[in-house]
Amino acid sequence: MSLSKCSSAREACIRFQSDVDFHQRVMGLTNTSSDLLPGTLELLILKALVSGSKHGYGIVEHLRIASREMLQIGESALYPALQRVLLQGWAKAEWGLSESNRRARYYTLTAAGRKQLADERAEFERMVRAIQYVLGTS
Amino acid sequence: MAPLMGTWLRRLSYLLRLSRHDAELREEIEAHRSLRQAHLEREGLTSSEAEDASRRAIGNVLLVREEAREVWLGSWDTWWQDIRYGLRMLRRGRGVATLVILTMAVGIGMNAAMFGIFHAVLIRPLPYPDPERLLWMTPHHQRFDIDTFISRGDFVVWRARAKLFERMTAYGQVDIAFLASGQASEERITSISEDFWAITGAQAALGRLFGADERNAIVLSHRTFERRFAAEPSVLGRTVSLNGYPVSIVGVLPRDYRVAFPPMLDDDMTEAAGYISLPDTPSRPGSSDRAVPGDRPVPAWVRVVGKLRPRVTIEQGRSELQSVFDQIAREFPTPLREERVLRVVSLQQKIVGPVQVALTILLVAVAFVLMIATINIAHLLLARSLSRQTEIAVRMSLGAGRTRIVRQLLSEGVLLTIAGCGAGLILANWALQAIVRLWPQAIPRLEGAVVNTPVLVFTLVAALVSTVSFSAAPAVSLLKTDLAGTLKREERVGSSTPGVTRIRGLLVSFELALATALLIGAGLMLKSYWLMSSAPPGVDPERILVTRVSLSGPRYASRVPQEQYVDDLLSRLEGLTGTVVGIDAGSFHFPVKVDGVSPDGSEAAVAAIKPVSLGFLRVMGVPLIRGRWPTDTALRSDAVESTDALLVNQRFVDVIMRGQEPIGRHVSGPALSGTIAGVVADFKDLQLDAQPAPQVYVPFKRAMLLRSVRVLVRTDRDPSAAARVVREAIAQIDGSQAIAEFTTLDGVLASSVANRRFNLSMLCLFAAVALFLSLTGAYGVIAHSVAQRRREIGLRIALGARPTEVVGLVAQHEMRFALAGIALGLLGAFALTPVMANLLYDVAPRDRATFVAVGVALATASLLTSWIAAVKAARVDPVMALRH
Repeated sequence: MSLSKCSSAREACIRFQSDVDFHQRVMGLTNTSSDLLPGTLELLILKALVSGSKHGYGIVEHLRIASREMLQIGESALYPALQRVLLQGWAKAEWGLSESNRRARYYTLTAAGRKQLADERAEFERMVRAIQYVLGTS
Repeated sequence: MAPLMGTWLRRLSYLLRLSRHDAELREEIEAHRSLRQAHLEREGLTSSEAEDASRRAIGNVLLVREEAREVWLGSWDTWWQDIRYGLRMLRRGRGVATLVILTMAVGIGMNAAMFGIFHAVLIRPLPYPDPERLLWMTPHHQRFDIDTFISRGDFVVWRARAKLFERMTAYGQVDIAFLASGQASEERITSISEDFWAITGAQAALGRLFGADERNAIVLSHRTFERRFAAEPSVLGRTVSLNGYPVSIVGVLPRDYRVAFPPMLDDDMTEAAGYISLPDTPSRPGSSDRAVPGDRPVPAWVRVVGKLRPRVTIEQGRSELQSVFDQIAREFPTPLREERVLRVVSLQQKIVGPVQVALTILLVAVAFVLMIATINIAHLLLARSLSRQTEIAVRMSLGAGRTRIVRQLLSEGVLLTIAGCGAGLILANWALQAIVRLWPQAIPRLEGAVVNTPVLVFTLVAALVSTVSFSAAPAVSLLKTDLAGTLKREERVGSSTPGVTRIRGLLVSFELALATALLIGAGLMLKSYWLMSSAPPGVDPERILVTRVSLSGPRYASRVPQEQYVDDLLSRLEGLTGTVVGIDAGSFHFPVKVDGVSPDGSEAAVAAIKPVSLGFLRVMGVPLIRGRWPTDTALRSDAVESTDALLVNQRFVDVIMRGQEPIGRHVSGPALSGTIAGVVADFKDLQLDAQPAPQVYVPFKRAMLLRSVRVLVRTDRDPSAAARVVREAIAQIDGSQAIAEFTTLDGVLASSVANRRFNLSMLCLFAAVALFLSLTGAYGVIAHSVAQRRREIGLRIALGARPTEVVGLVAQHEMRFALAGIALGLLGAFALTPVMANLLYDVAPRDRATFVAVGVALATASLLTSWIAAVKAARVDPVMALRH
């Protein structure tokens, strides 16, 4: 494990965190099974695709960064969820070339997917508020 | 709706390109992994470390792919996998699979066939409208325990006074000469009263049905329409003659129309050729009408079927009719009403009542066979599953859950069941066709036994129960596999726990118990049938031809021409070479009195008076036990006053004379008076399963009715050739007289017990199959458990035991289960066989000889089985046994 130069304290924190989860990953401890509410992962995937077509790994990276390293999605959870998204017609998949000139399958949000994202998001926020009320937190 | 449609369409397109999608997913996951690897390399790992890490991170790719596939196809995909895998496994274990399928085919097939019969006869409602409202109403003779008839006069009163009945119909049958297009034949004609068509729900296939007031109308059965009139529609309106009475054909019944109403004589199932109306001439209740020659043929006695009004119970109908019955007895007493009570049951009960017990017993018996078959299959699968322990252990360590494994085994079970069921149903279909063709007379309503929906449903249920039963044991035993131990091959592959061995031993006991019970049942019936069919001395029933001649028409209206005809018949037939001829003019039951013998109690002694020609006894080959034969002339004479010589049979002496010396005694009764000249041995000429009645043989000219006689001919020639010759000879006397079909005495006797033979054959078949299955099952289990103990046996031999000692040890151990099973079976049979009492003739249901014989036979068979298995085990090479 080698340290690269950090330009600021914040970057050092991020680096440290990435070392930890790197360690975790090396030890094969990071295949997260979905503890999320069923359907949430699909929602997150749709959100990830809003900002542009991505392949599977790209989606994982996006979610990792956007969740500030809190969500590490493993393949065993991701791919079945991707299939569900495809089955419902919320995204389309096409083969293309990745940045490193490798073949990769890119997922693109469809109109139905956009609508689903909006609906699901509203529903999710409602659910969270309900749980918060019950738990007594604002 | 639209999203749902879209989903299904996408599923379909996925299904169509299944392998391409699967390959793409693999590629995608691999690409994902290599991207992750690149990421890790950027973070500082070496490429090999990064590769390992990324692979570990993915985990089980196979699981991911499977889960992904499941999203699209649901669990169908895994089911399909299970089936394909199951087929492959079955093909590998082809021997076992074939055995299982065959065993199941036999078990399920026999059950399906038996249920088909049960359903067709007992469960299926009668083919009439509102069959549950139809009642059978008859006077019942208590002492002889048979249903008798009523007079037409009685019927008129019943119909008038029984208000709870919506309809009531009377019918009677006569066998008369049917003359059409110059050809005469003897046919059965049924006379019916007004409500007959309504109650049976009949429709005419051609023409119409007649109304009650039509005196000269006849409706033909389809068979007669085809046979006598070549199915020409122009037959309508043509005239035929019944005993000289002209009737016009107004209609033809449909081809499959059969009136299953009880015939006039309970064993005589001949179908009617046509139907005419019953005359409505008022007659005094209790008297029988003699048909006036040239007038409409009318039966003297009739039988009645009634239809209750809706929502009236049988009880209500019965009590109302009972009061009518009693009223008639008071108002119109006749001697014929004595000893007769009213019997009212549902029509279905009357028709199928006699066979209910037998069929239920057979159904239970065949269920036993299925149980034995299922246990055998469980043995087979259990043995095979033990050899699959390694495979299961590997699968479980690769991540297969328990449910998955159980589902896999269940799928294999289902595949076997589907194959076994299919084969079984084919077998059942064939068996039912064969049975209906071989024994048409054996059971009423048998012709409806086919593989139909209820049978299929029953088969499904039976197969389901069977599958679950035999899949449970192997599945349970496999799930208890010790994974690590099996993989390390610490335990010998194919070993089982003591618990399992004991269970298998108990199953073998149970099998043998069932087989024992079945064998005892079959043995009892076999003994009964053998006793029943032991031939009377000197008679070869196959060489005796039987036919009947019925005199009809105005020429034979009076007594003198009738006797003339019979004399003529006798002399012509006796003139044929190589024949012995006898005439039987019937059997009349009357009370008789013998001089010097006081009646026993208040019951008058009833004997059967048989007017015969002397040749009759000679044809039957009946030996004379005491006294002498009357001369030919004496037996031909009709003088009543002379001291006529009579013959009686042994039974007469036993029952009526209670063993006193018969020769020289005078016998008297209605239209009977004579001296006993000789005693002949008992014989059976009509009913095989009834003891001969006490009989008195008188000259045939003393018969009260000489209209119809049975002609018996013993011939040395081939029966069919002889029949032709005899028929020609008879026809030469008067070609217009009807001669019935020729049968042999053997045929007559056999059809009198067709039902018993059916029961016997079925039960013996079940018992034989049960025996075979249970012995092979026992052999398999014993051989297997001996193989389990190979190590122990090898050890013993290595330590110095002699092979015979070892064999004895093993055999003894195995015999315990077998003997326990046989004992259980004997006890069970002891408890259950009284149910069969009505099916047995002359054999007690707890006949000691049969029980002992079966017990000994089975014990010997089991001993032999253990012995053979143990001997094979003793050939073990100790070193090999110990090493493995």
